[in-house]
Amino acid sequence: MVRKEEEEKVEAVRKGMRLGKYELGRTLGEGNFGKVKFAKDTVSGQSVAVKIIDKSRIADLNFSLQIKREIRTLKMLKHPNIVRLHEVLASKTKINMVMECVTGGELFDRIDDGLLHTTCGSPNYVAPEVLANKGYDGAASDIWSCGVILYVILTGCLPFDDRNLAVLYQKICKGDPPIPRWLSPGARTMIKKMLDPNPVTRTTVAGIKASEWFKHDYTPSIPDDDDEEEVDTDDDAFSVQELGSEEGKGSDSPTIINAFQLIGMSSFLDLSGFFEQENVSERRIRFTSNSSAKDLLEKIETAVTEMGFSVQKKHAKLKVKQEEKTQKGQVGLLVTAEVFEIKPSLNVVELRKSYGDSCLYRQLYERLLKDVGSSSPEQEIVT
Amino acid sequence: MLAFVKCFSLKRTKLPPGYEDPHVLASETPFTVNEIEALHKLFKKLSTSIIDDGTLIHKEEFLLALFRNSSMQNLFADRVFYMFDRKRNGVIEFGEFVRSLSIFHPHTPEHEKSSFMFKLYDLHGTGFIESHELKEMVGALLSETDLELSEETVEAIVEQTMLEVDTNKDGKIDEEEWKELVAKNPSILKNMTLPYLREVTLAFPSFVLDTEVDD
Repeated sequence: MVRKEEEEKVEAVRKGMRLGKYELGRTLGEGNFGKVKFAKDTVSGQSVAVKIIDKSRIADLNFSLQIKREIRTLKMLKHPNIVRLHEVLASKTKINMVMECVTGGELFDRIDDGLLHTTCGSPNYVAPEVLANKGYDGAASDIWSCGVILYVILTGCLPFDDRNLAVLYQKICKGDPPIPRWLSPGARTMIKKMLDPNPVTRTTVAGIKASEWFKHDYTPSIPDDDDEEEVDTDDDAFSVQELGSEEGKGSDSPTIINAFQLIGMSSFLDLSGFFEQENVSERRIRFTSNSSAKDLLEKIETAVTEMGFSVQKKHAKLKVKQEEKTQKGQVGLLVTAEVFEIKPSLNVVELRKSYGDSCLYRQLYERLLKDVGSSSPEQEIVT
Repeated sequence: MLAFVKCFSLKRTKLPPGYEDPHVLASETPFTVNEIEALHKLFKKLSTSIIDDGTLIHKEEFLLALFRNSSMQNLFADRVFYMFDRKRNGVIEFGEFVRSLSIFHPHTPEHEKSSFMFKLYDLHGTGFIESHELKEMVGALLSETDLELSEETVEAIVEQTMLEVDTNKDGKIDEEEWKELVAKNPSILKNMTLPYLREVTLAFPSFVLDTEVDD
């Protein structure tokens, strides 16, 4: 029985239909280095897209570095609007990148009958300064490419196109594409500002976000946060609410933390250091407070809301998020604040950073320490 | 059995000393062969950080990797190293590293995590967590966190915990009692799951260039 399954598996692998736990399906697209295939995770049933890269085509060392960089970068980008990279599989001849399957279809299929196609690869999206090959500011040339996409979405045509590459390059460098009069004035201005051939005067992300046209009906998307598996979803036994309600019963014995809960707070039992650049002590900060747990949670919520963060509440935990990009360009901040009641009127507040800028995290911590930390060195109250 | 066959069907290539066949490790753990190859990149980084052998993780290297300090003294750090060092020879080999980390995989059953943690807390290996061990661990936590609790409070915490967990009242916690505690309070196991292990192929992608996996 097992043997038969095993044989079938081997057969599927031989036909190239199977890749680890993934069952490969139809080809979705083809690029310079290989194919993208539809696939199904046979364990979870989830649909994925697998980018299959032929190693023989990337023998060049630079491409190896580029692939490693691409993997590392995609790993960091966890956002609902960015295709997620789930895992990488490799064999002696192939590299397989297992990615989120986006079912929206080809951009051009969405906006017209699909007659439009770029002439070769996609140089149509490339900024003039990239073509000039003299080094460029990546952020500015990305704005240009986004401008081309915006143009395509709104008009159904490419802003710059020609069968002849030399002519296409000329058109791109000149800029100033024809903009249909029927577009709204706001949209026309935005396209012009994004497709400015001069990268220095071209608009920026901040400029786009500040424009009325962009802000109209805009709701920011919420960063993905599946990093932290909720291992303790049903675990209310130690939550502050629970302890609070016990107190409410008027019981004589004061509530006190379970020793194993206390020991579990040790940083030396946290092995995430193997996988993190930052030290545990930089990610996880604790301070004590004599306020009641309920007061603490309320005060923390008030303080972080004032600082412009959004807050999600769950039992004795608060998830604190900052979704806007900081000036330095780092994306957001996600911090969990948790209150542990050691005994009545002695609480430990623990802040854990899931991701984000360390400076901003520090500011958050300092503000909370000021607002809710114990003002005097904590006094021992004998129970 | 399958692993055995696979092992011999492989061309006996030059395996680095201390290295174990990823196929064998994959058959025993939730990791795939690629994931084990990625973990080997991590292992190599750790095992060369102080003593450049690339085949063994020494205690100092373990501490350096986890706590950015190779000479610190801490009861819990000692216990974690001891649990990883399955052969009890003072160093961690690749196979020990992978098998121990596999307990921390999000897909590993709770009972394995629970049992690992029980042994970790059973400081003297008696098969029981005794109240003096519990007290010693609370003490270690307090000195680590600068949390100041009076002797009385510590006693009260330990006493109340024993009262709650030691249901047969023999003065020590056995594995059955431990399991009941964990069932009631799964958050006690929170340190036993590393979500990062799901993404090892992304964290250490250089394995893609020298993988031994056949097509």
